[in-house]
Amino acid sequence: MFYDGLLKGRYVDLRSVEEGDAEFTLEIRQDPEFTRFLPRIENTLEQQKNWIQHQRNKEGDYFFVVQNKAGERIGTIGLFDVTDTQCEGGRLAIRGNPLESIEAQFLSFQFAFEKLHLQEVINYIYMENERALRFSMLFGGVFVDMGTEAVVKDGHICRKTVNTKQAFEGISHKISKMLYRQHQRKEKQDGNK
Amino acid sequence: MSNLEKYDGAFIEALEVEKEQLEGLEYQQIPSWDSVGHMELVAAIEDAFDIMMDTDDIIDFSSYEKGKEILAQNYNIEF
Repeated sequence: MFYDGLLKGRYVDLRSVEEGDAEFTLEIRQDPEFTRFLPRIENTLEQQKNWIQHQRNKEGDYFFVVQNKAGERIGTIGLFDVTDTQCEGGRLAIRGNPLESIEAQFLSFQFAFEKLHLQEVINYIYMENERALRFSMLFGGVFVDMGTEAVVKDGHICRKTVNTKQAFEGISHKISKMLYRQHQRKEKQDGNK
Repeated sequence: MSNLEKYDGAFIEALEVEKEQLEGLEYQQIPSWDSVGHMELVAAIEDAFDIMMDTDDIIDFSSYEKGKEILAQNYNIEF
C-alpha cells in the first residue's frame, strides 16, 4: 500500500517503495549478509517490478525504502498484514551505521503506533538471527511462547516477539535520547564563528 | 584504574567479550557488536569516562582501535 508521505528522521528517511527500487530491493534480498536471516527472493527484475506494483495497491501492506540523508538507499523495512489492532513487522535489511539502523526501526514503530494506531507489531524472527531478536528487545519487545505451534519460514524455525504500543512508549524516551543527542562539537565550532 | 583498563572494561562488559578478543575488534565482526551492542558500548564508555559522545564520533567509532583514537583526539583521554 502506497503511503503518500515521508517518515523523516535525523539520520534516515523512510518512503514507500517505487518501481524504480526494484533492482535495489532485489539486490539487497539476495545479499548473503541478509539471506542468512530472510527468505531469499528469486524474482527476475521484471517480476520484482510487478511485485512492487502489486504491493503498492495492497491494503494493509507497507514496504519502505530506507534512505540516508545523502539520499542513498541503504535498506528496507516493512509492516504488513495490518488489521485494526496489529501488524507483522519484517523485511528488515539495512546497511547503515548504528544510528541509521536504530532510527529506521524507530520510525517504523512510530508509524505503526502513531499513524496506524495499532497496538502490537508482531515479528517472526529466525531463531539464529540474534541481531534481529536483540533489535526487537531494544524497542521493548517480548518473546511469545508458541508452545507446540512452531512457525517455520523458509525452513527456519522462528521465534515470535511482540512489540506493543505501551512498551514502545515506555522505551521511546530512552531511544530518543540515544538518537537525538546534540552535535556538541559542531555546535561549539559554530559558536566560535 | 587506568584509562586503558576502563576502556577495555567497557568493551568486556557491553559486548561480553574476553580481553584477548579486543585487539582488532570491529563493529559487526561479532554478533554482540551490532547496532544494539554499539549503543550499549557507547553508554558504557560514557559512564566510564563521564563524557557524552558526539553523534559523529558514535558513528565513526568502528573498531577498538578507532575508539581509542576518537577518545584521545576529541575527549582528551590519554591511553
